[in-house]
Amino acid sequence: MTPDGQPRHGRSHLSPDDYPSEADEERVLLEVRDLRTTFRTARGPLRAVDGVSLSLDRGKTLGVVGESGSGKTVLSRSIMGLLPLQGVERSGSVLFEGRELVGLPPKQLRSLWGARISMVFQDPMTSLNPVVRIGRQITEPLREHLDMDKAEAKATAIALLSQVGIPSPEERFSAYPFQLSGGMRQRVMMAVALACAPRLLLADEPTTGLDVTVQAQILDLLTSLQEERNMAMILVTHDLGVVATRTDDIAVMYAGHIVEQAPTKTLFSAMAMPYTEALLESIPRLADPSHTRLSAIEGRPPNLLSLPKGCPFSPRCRYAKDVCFEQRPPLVPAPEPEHLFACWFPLGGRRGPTPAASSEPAMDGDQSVIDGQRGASPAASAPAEQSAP
Amino acid sequence: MSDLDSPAAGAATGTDARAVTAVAKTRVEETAEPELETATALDEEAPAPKKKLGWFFWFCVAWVVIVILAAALADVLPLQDPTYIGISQNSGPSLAHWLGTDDLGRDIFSRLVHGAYVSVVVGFGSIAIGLAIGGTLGMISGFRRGLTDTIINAGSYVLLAFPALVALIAIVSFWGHQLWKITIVIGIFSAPLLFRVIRAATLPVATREFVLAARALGASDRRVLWREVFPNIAPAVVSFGLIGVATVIVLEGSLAFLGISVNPQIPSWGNMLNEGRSNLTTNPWITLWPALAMFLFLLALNLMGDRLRQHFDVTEVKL
Amino acid sequence: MAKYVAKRFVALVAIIFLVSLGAFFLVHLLPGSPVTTILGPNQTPQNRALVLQQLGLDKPLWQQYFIWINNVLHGNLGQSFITHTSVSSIITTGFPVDIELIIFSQLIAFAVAIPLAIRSARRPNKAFDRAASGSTFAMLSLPAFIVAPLLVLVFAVHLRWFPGPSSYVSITQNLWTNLHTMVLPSVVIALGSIVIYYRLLRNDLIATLQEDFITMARSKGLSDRRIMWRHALRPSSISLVAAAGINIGTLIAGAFVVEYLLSLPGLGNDLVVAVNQSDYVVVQSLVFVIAVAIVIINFIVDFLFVVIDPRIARE
Repeated sequence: MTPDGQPRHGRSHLSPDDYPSEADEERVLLEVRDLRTTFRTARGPLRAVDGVSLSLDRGKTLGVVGESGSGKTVLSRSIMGLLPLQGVERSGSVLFEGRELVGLPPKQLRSLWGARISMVFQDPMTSLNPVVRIGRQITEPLREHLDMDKAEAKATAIALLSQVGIPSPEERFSAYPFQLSGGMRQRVMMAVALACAPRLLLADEPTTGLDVTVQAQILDLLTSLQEERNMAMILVTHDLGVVATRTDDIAVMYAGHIVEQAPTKTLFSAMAMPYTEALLESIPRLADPSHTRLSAIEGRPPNLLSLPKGCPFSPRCRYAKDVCFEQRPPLVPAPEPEHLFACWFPLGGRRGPTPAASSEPAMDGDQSVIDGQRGASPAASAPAEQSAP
Repeated sequence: MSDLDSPAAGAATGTDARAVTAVAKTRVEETAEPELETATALDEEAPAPKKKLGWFFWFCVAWVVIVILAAALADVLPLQDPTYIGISQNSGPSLAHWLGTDDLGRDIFSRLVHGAYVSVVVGFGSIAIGLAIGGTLGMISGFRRGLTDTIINAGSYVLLAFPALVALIAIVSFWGHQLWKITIVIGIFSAPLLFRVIRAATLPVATREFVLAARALGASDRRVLWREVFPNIAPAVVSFGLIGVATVIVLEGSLAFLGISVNPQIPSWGNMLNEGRSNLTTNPWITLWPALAMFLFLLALNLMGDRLRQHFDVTEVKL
Repeated sequence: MAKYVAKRFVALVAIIFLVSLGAFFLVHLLPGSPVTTILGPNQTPQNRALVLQQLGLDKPLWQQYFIWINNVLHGNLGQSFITHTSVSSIITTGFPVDIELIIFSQLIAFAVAIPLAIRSARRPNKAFDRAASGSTFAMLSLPAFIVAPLLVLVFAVHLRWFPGPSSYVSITQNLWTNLHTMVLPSVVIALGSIVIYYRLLRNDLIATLQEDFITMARSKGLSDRRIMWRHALRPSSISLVAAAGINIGTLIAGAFVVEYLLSLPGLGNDLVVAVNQSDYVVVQSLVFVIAVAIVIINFIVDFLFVVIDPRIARE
């Protein structure tokens, strides 16, 4: 209740004007440098995230694309710090609002989770507690972080439910997850994640497992909520189609590394990695005649416990040459602004870096030398900078 | 299906944790949702190291084997006569009497070794009977499902709702105290519980694809049961069986305390404990040695059962 | 929900009926006869016939059953052949003892097992977990007839902290003495229950803590304590409730040994005596009542299931 007896509606009714504008705060919300996450398994160390660097501005959307096993989910969890308590090592730097998250004591991390950084999970079926009513699952972070009392939290939760497009929110408030459909559950998850108006939302495959028709709705909802709140978002998915129209920048991951990174338009118009090309080709097109063979990428994602020498994609790459199997290509800038790639023989007739001391003579028009890029390491040579496209 | 359970072989004397757990889990499992299996690229490479059974496990096995051998060979071993009423009463451990004598002057060590016979026979014998009846029915029932399953399952519920200890007391006091009679009765009463446990173990196996494949190939039910199903539930059978043996031994002890186990003249651990009760202040050795022997034997059985279950249970969390 | 309850209730009635049949025939199909107890070894055929007729035992079995069950349904549980005390009065004196024993022991068991299990589940396979799991495992191998005399020896005889056996005083007479007397027996029984509850809850919690919704709860920034109590314990308590139901059901019938060892005037004693004396009516009515109690408890457990996890009612 406000002092003059009017009911308070909670933060969800704040308009974009209430949020600090870009000019007021530092533009770069998130800055990740050389993040590495290693799991200690019975079969040896597993480097799920192996030296990833990126940065994100307020209100911008970054899409992270890759197959299963590429490390994209672990990346999102690593950025947040939401990793298992035992058997995992995380190193590198994650600066959120200028604050270093790696090495932060758990208590302080917890005060950020749900309040400033939130996550939307892949499977709404298993991510919501099946024996707790959804209303309570939404009011929990409200009461924890924003100190709301029961009535206020309930009102806010109901408002949130209607914001995410759930009909009859007052009734649904006391429903159990199993009483809702898959799409509705996912909306509830979003309501939970957005409850305290976080600055950064990590959406981990939010539409995988949903009906195709529902997928578009959910994604549109995410985008509109994000715009409304000037919230930054990292959208993790295996589906290039999902990120095509909804992201400002895209990072393509493979075997724990970022292999290509560019503003969305640039990625689709001037892609450099054969892997990205293959991903794009594997999307079936409605315009194709029926019974057209689906083109899939041959082979399987690599075993992270025993990565091949050289480029991790080489066993499956149709353009692979000998040097690709020998040395791992570094992540280097392309001629277009803010475009990075890691390939010895990039597409489009552009020049790739020179492999170090190789016995291979320069071959094909696809390969040439970029001065000063010999043997450059991925992170240091290419601090990712993205500005508004 | 109504869920009315109470383990047949239970009493306040140590209702078995795992037996209760197994029955409780059955209830929960029957409402659990099926899980989907997803393969990852990692599965194809080197398999995870299997959890070793450990030296402690084999230590327990050794102890159990020793006890069984002692029971079987008691008459042959160079021991004193367990029923010989001697002159040195209530003497402590000495060279002549390794564990001392009881209030009637009988050699405790000899009685202990002979007493193992009762515990071993009752324990393993009745579980063997219980598994033969209940285990087989459980396997068939879990495999066939349908009407057969419903009927037998309902029957087991009724039997389990019955206070078994009471029935045991009644039957044994009326029918007779002979060891074989007691073994049979306990065996019959352990059948419903073993039925439920084995059935719960069979259900997930019976729905696996390799069973389906065998059936599709035209294999007869009996063949499928023996060649496909049984090898997969064998670890569960052994592990629960061992735990059942431990429970039954406790049960026999309780019966001895109520004075209705085997004839008090025959040395058995239960009887010795019962006799020792009145002499607790004068000669605690009468109670202590059988207590220790029983405790160690039960411990070994429980450990073996538990270890085996852990070893073969793929779903157990490995941390 | 109502449908679920109704279904269970019908099953309950059916099972009670079957149990009554079992109780009746159990007693009657075994050798031994109350006549021997009443008349002693010197029975003439005439006396036998007379006593049989008096006790109503000369009628055909079916008839005896229906007479008995009819009486039971009207609240008349019959009388002891030997002492002529009504079964109802036997129950009213004996049952409260058992109930008290059960309540106390379960309270102790929960109070010990739940915190131990939570602590162990937090850091599995570390020091605390190993110690707790190991010692509860050892307790599993200590039957009541070993533990009870030992506890009596130590606490009642040597330390004199608690009264020894045969000192029971009803709760209406003297509250403090009553509680004092019940401690040792309750502890003995609780030990067995602790083992069950601890192991079950610990394993269940560990499994639950791996679930996705726990990760989600963490991502909301909730404290570990809150996650454990609000999110993890709820689903895990299902198995606990199931086990408690089974356990309590067993205890009703099975606290005998403890009663016997510590001379508590509960139903266990009465039952054993009645069996030894072939006191048919007492045995069958007591067995029946006990079984009914077990069935009802399981019914309550099923009901609690649905309260905790509403998904179960959907079947």
